[in-house]
Amino acid sequence: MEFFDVWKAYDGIQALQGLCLEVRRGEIFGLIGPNGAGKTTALKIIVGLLKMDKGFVRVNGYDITEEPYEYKRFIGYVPEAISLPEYLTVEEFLIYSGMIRGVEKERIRGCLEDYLRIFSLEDRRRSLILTLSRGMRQKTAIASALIHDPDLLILDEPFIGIDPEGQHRIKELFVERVKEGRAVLVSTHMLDTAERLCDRISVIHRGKNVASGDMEGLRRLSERGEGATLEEVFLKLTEEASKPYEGEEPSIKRGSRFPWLFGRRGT
Amino acid sequence: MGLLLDLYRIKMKIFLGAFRASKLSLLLLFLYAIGFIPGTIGMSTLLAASIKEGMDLMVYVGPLSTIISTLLALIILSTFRGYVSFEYEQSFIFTSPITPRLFLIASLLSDLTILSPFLFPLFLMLGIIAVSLSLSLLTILSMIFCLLLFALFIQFLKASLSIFLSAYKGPGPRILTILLMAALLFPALGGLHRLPLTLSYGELPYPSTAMALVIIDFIYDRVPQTYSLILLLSYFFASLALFLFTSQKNIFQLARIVPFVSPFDTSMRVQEIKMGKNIAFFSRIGFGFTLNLRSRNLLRFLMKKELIRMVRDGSLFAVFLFYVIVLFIFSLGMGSSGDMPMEVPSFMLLLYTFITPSMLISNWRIGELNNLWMPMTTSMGLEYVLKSLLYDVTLVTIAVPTFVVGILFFLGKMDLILPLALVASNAMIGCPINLYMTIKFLGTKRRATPSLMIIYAAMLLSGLLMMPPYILFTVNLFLRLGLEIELLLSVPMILYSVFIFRYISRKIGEKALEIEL
Repeated sequence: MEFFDVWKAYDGIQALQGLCLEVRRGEIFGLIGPNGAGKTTALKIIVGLLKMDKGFVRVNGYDITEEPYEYKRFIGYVPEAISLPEYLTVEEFLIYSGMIRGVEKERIRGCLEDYLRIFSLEDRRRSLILTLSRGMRQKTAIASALIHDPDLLILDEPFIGIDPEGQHRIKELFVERVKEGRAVLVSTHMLDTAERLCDRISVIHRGKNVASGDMEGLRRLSERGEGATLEEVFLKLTEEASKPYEGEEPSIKRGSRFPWLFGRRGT
Repeated sequence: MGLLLDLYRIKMKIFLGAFRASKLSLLLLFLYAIGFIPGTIGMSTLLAASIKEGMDLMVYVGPLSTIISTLLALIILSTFRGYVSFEYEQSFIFTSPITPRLFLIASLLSDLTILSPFLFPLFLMLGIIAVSLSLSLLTILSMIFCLLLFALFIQFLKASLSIFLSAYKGPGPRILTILLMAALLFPALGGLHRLPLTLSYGELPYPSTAMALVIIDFIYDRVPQTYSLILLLSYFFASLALFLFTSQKNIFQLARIVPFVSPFDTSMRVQEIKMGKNIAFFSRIGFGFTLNLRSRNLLRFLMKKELIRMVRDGSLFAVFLFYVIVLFIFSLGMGSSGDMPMEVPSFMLLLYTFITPSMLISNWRIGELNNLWMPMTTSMGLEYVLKSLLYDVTLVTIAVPTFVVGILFFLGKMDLILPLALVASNAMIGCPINLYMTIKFLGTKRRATPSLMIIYAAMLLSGLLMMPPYILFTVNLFLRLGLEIELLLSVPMILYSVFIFRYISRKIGEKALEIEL
């Protein structure tokens, strides 16, 4: 997956400013950054939930602007704020996921049993999603993202709400997939998990790529010594990136549309 | 005092925050206000003219008191949930050193302020009557003072009862409250025929009676009777005493916490919670109907999934209930008069057919908006999902009223051909228009648009496009053109609707590509 010079603004706020990323086959790629850095926006652009203002994204050889549907056969996505159809049971939802992703019926039947077992959802297969805990919903969403065996799995904060055993199984699953030549792109705030799990990591800040590479490379870039943790590296890199350039003006100024009614607001 | 004002300001700002999310919220309030103007002006002018011609208003003490008593009973019914607070109040106010009483007073003031714009028609009515009858300034000011007193009485009573019901959980307080409601409504039975009940509101020392007497005296520009004034003041002071007593309780520990509710549902959270409750209830019924791999193709599979949603979230039940009410009203009408003109069931049924698509698609928006990320991240895209939804909604909108038309036809209360053609026509126009307007306001940029505004716009547009079929239908209804002509009229009606259906469906497909979540 190539993500090159991508720009995106919301209501005048620049969320991505020429962000570049590259995810290769056979790796777990971590995306880390402070709140509002643009991680979720970047992922949403890759999966087609948002349109970029400028830039170029290619997945498995497909330009996502030119061919907005075809490339989606190769991706699986789990959003940060998961919302699932609560009126379906776990089993029905996984069938639905398979069907809308064009998976053959026989394969859906096979995968269904596998994933229910892997994610310990067998007992809840006929339960409505409405009745599931947050962790179980997360597991169900991950299972649905895997049902078509995608080449690139994209996950936004996948471990929140999942118990340690579940987290361990999911990490094992990621490693297995990567060994088979597929790729995983994870956005997370859990830096210790990212440090242990990811082959390469990209630190983004204010919509720009601050640094990319493996742990060794990031340590070198941050000028932190050997043995520095990802947390230390991250803090150093984002601190450097936060320093304003000489003479830099704040780029965003917004006011209320009804100042007479609500009072002024501005950033 | 400063703290009280700060609290009041916070509560007002949070309330007004709903307007910030979408400019259309302001438009909705404006539409609400202007929607009442013609009716209010007409009614008030007529009333003022009747009074000038010597109409005796004292005979209306009973009906006016009945209305006020019913309102009071409904307000008391709303206290059964106990004292209700919003999540943000629990998180930020209840954990601060603010006292419960101060919070209650700030809530009371903000509730009165929030209510005022919605009482605009009432103020307008009183204003027109005051000007038409040339009431003195003193009378007008006294009337406003009494209305304020009564509004405060209601607020004190509501707050006190809800605190009382939160603090004392047993059946006793609930029975007492039910008795209070029954006492308020009991004299209304006197209005029903065949009941040997001699009680009437005009003879009872009820707060509603006092208020009705005071208003009527003011309209006649005379000083109200001492009896009604003393009665009104006694109720006010009694409610104040009750409020001062109950506000000593620590409501911060007793309050029932609910998500923030705004009259303009910008967050949709409350509706989503309600939808969750519906699913928990209706899914028990819909379990015989499951989503499996037996569907022949993807479109059928998706249509089945949408149908399952409608069953399990109660949408289908609501539609059935809607039409059961129509049938019930017809049977009542036919029972009392023996006969009912054919126009009445026809127009009522068609009005319902007009509303059904809005109801179904609005429910889809609430339940499915946050789930759309899933089809949108697949190679299938959103178009297929929208297509299956459109087909399902159109089928339901046609099938249920067709059943009702069938029943009415067998009862000899309705023709068959043209009503069926109009039902199909309404569905084929109303469903795609409602879906188109909904997805137009679906993306991140316009997500804050209130549902009511979307429904309003969709109904307006559907109404305009439905005009030609309605004209054909009305012409036949009054001229009784005969079966052959009915068949002839049905053909262009259906062709026109099919054209609209296909055209808007194509537009929906195009719009689906623009959605960003």
